[in-house]
Amino acid sequence: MNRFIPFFRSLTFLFVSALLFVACDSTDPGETGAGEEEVISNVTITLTNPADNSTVTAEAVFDEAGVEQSVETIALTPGVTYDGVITLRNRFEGEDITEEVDDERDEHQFFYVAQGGVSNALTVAITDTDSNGFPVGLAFTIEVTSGASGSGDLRVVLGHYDERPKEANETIDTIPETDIDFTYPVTVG
Amino acid sequence: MGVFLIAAGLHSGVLSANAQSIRGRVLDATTQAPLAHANVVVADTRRGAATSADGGFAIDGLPPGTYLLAAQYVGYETALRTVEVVAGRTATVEFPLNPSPLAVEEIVVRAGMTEEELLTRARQSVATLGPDVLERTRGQTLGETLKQLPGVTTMQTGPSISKPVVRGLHSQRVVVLNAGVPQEGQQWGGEHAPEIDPFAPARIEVVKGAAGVEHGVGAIGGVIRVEPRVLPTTPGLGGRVDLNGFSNSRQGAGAVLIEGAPAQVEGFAWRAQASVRKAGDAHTPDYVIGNSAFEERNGALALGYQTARTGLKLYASRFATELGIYRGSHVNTLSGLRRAIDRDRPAVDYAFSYAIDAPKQSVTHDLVSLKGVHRLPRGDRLEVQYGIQRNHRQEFDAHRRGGDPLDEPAFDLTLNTHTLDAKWRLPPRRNAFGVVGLSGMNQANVNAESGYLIPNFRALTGGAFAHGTWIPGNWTLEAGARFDTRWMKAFPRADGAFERRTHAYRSLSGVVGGIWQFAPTWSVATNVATAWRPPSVNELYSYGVHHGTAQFEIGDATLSSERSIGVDATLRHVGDRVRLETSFYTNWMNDFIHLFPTRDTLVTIRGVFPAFQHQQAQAVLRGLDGHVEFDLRPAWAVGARASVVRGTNVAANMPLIGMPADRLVLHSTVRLFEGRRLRTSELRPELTLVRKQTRVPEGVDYAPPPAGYALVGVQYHADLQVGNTPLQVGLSIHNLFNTRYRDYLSRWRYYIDEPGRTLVVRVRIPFGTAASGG
Repeated sequence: MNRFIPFFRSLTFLFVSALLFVACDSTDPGETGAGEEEVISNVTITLTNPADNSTVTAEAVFDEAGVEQSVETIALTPGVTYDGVITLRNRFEGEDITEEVDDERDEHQFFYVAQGGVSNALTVAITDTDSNGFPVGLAFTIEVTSGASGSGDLRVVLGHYDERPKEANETIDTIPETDIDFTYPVTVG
Repeated sequence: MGVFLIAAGLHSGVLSANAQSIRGRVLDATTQAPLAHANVVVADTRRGAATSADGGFAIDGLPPGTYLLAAQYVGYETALRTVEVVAGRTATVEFPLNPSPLAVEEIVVRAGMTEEELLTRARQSVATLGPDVLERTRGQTLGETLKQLPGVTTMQTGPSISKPVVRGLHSQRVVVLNAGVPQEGQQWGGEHAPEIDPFAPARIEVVKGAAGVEHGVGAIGGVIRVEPRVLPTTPGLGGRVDLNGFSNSRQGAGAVLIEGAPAQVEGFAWRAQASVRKAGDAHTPDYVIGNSAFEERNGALALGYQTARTGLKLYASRFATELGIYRGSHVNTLSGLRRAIDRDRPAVDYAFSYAIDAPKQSVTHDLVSLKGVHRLPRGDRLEVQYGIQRNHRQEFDAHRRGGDPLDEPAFDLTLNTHTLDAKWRLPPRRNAFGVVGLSGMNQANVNAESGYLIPNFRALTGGAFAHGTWIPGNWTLEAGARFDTRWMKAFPRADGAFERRTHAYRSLSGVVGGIWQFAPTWSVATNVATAWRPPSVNELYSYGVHHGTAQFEIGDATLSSERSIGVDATLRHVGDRVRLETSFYTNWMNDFIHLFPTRDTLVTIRGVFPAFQHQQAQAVLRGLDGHVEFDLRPAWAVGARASVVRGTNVAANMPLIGMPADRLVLHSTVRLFEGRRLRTSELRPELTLVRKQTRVPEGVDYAPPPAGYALVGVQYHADLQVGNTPLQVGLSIHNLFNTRYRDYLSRWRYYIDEPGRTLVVRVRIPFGTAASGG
């Protein structure tokens, strides 16, 4: 039996040292981060009035899990047709995601839907196209009916077509993967 | 005269059946001390007896003949004696037992060694799947195999992921012991199946109900004990080849096992095994389940060395799987989920394929364990087991911003766990024996650079326990207590950075139980046990949308530990023709942690989601499960098993979500012709009836529970002799009538039906010592 005592003693030492080996901890998230994601954290719509080059911007801010933190109201003037662009950003990584979408135009399409009290006041038209001539929606125009007033929402949807090719006449209901789907409050008047 | 008596006995065996008997004693070979409560079993019959305080036993009513008797006692070698029973006479036999040189395999109070033992040893409801049953189901996932036990159901995520549910509880509430080491993977995920090679186990036991004293934190709902084969002790080289085919997914599986004990090195033994599986997309009766293909590659190596007093065992295993997730279940918006539910079948007509595309899971689990056992001269037994595990899980979403989803996982977690368990088993004194133990665990979870689901964390757990058993007469009484403490630090995200949070939990577990063998073939066992578990990291910190369920899940870092207090009563009967076990239980759960819908919805960049928060409430689970088997004829048995669970959130006075539906299985076993070539063959039809789950909380789920269903299956099993090789052949058909059905606990029940008819072919070819020794 005695010759096993050193064996068990060294075994015990091994176990105890393994259990206490926590000084240099692998679980501390380092510089490279632990679990970074390709998230869209900020969405900004910039509308330019071509008559006087004045701009309206509205930013929506989301957290890492995509929960809306704040969204600015888009205030529009009746009778104006705005030139619009949408930009997407990941503020956590300092990444411009607009570029990514721009690089993959064939796989993306934005949809803009005026809802509520402004559903009849706004007419949105997409002005850019992909290599197949299908709409993309990074650039668009919003025509505000003269004499209109009221408040409502602008629903912004980004469809991602990686499972099947994007086709002509896509609708929100046929989107295979949704990257973005939220609303901006809008006032007209 | 003697000749005449034997002849008379043979002719009128029935009449004189009670006239002859076997009497004997079981003793410690060295001390000559009587061994009480040893089991004496008559081989090839269901007869047996337990020894009384003076080591004596009696078996009456055997027809005259020659019998093989086996005497078994914990910590001793089993002894065999041939006894000739002569009509009208009493045969006497003495069994001096030698302490077993070593069993590195843990000696546990376990069911299934003999059915007689079940009557006297298992305080709790224990269900066992022995090698014979496992052979008939070889190649299925662990969860599918466990479904055969009353009280156990599964939570399915398609054909490849099936998670055992014990009496309504699963995941971090059920401890899985793989070769004695608590399996540590990312158990919290409902679609994370236990990482265990279905070819490896030689026996599987399920302890139903809380077993916190023996198994520490987490053993609230039960324990699943998966044991590999015992290493060979007789010199020689042997092994076997298993081949399986499953028609539904065109799955092929194979396993090779080689083991040996070299004659030159006494006490040394080894075993190596490997298995592979490759399955394509499964079919429902009407369509292909797109991207449900999977692959598995597993291997294990065991080395053992034993002397009279000391034993060492090294066990190493790898489990590696890659499995596709049905594409249509990966919806990331509420509207997408609603569309998928309304559609009621896949949007696309998928073609069969073996390809595994995104979304998919890729998981490897490595385990190395070293176990040492040493017996002191007085009979004390020391056991030390050290285990190291590495669980690497990568999950790939269907969709990834800016690239191919297969390039970068949506999350990538590595969980490293060290466990150390030490036990000191005290030698039996009079009618009592006991064990004290210490255990420790050090666990680290690390996210790779990309992807995030749960935070990095480190957890240190330590525990100490004592457990004693006292056997006065027809009673077996047990009591035990345990203390555990866990410290954890976690690094949840906070607006682009990581916070450091620490948590500490400590609490007690306890058990008091008794078994009363009130008649030779009847016993009743009852058990009061309490166990606890600290909240798991996802319950503390999850924050995001769960794919496939379209719920925004929110953790709560202030959650406290959850405690269960369970009362269990089991009636057992092991008769000549009837075998029965029925359990009733109530499990009160204090501070039961569960997801509960909040009143608010959450506005996210992908639309509005219902928010579910991890909350605590008083809950209670009640139920009964059991089985009965009845031999109608020597070659024809019928049986039934049933499980009923009722879970209630007492605080909110509503049913708990996700409780298994009532289930009844009727089966019949017919032994067919037997001969020299076809040694045994058996046909086993089975009817599974599952009721619709009607007890569900209102307004929480997206779709009502599916209708009840009835499935018919048939198994055929044969042992053949081809030349010198004993072959085992199995043929079974699951879902014989290609019934369309959905199961309430299937995570894909919102979208698609369960798989249709499957024909399974199994062949086992032993070689070497395994072929000759059986």
